[in-house]
Amino acid sequence: MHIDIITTFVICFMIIFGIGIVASRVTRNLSDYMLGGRRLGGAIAAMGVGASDMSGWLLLGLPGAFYAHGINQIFMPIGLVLGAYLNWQFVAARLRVYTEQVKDALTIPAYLDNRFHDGSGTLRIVTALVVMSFFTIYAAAGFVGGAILFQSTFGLSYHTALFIGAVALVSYTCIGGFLAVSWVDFFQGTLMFIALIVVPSVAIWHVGSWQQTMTILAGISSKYTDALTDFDWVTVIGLLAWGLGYFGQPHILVRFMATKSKAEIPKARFICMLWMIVALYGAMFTGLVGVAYFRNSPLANPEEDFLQFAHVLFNPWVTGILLAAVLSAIMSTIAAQLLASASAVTEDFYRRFLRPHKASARELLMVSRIAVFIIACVAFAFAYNPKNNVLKLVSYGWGGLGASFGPVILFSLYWPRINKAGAVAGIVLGAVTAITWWALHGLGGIFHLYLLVPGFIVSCLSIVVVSLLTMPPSAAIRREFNEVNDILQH
Amino acid sequence: MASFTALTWFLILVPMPLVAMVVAWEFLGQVCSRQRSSLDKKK
Repeated sequence: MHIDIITTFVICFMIIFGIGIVASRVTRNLSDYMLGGRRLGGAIAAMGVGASDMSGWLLLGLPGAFYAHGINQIFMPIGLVLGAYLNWQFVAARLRVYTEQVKDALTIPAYLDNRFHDGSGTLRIVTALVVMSFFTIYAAAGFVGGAILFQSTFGLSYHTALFIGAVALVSYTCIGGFLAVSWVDFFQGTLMFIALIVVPSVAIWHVGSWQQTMTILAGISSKYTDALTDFDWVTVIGLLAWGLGYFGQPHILVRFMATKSKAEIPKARFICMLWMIVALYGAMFTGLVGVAYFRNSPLANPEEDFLQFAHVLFNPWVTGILLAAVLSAIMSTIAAQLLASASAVTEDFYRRFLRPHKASARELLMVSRIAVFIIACVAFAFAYNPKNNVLKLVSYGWGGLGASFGPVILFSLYWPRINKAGAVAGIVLGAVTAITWWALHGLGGIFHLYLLVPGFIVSCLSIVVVSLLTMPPSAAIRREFNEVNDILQH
Repeated sequence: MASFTALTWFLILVPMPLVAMVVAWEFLGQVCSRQRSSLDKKK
């Protein structure tokens, strides 16, 4: 291992860690802590959405998917781009206004609680349980990403690398705060963007030329040049359906809530979508060029593609920066996910049901840290099996959240007839369908379809059926809905 | 000459750039309408 790589890697890591600590010191209150005081300008909000959404998955999982399965994976970026666009277009501004209108809700569980005037706490409990379960799996993907990074950088065994990576990631989450996440995301988003332009371009130049790369790919297999090789509808619909997941990701939706005003949304949408499209092209070509470049010694783990390029193509100082970009990408997302899960335990369960009005700030902080530790241990257990790669774990976490919350968020923003019972049914049945589908995946056939599709459909149907069969929402809830409509029209 | 198939090129070059053009168009529209309203105020 080159000492220059380690030095640069450690320096970059310390800078990112430092930004986190400095930014967490300037937070003044809970709103600052959760949403940056709803002060984020278009560019920061845009990069926050992009970076927290994509994380290590963009640098490890997606190039690995193209490397392993070929160009037919193009349907996934297409689905994601369409989903992200629709999310910005139909959810962002409306959610920004609605969350402020319903007692200034700072989180998605709080929004749902306030939106449906739920005094019983049922929605909070259900939301907290679902957030915790799927974010734990999602966080496991971050641990696997950290393990692959430490394994490839320091030449450690998978399990040792997993342990060291997990300790680094959990320490960052507990010491630094999340509060900085938007600023760290901006820095990290820029780094990822540059890396995803530079790495495939330099790799193509090393292979010889674009034409030479294509010739090599065509010689290896037609699956790298023809998106319809091994075509089947179940796979294509499943890949396109990734885009549906956007409507239900709490860590992305909170960025919409944090924007300065709804007027910032078009600018943020423009920056975020351009960032995302260029980054997805970069990840796609990193995977494909990897097949040509490493043709004589194929990678044992396709998800190492980007990391191997960082090692073989660049000066050790640049390699250190690229590796730090990967770690920071994993770090900020995992911190947001672990803390969202911990806040579900602390705020939505412990403070609300176990110690209402009694828990001190110090006690809550301790409970929160214990929760981070326990959730991290469960995520570690999922990550321990090397067969659970980044893409597989992300697909489960992403699909589960999208199926549980996506329909509820959309209906709560656009359908005045939705009520609390419908929302609870939508979340529970969406989550149960996603988990059941995942468990039945081994049966093949229709069960190969991505779990997000059946989960989303069942959730939508249950919201409509249960809402129509139960009492309509109160006049106060309808009034709030109409007020939001009025604000958006002006 | 080896290359992607025509349909693959279409999938690579059309859907994502199309979305990029739509968001760019909407953003430009917003910038123009802001400028127009500020000019109207000056008048």
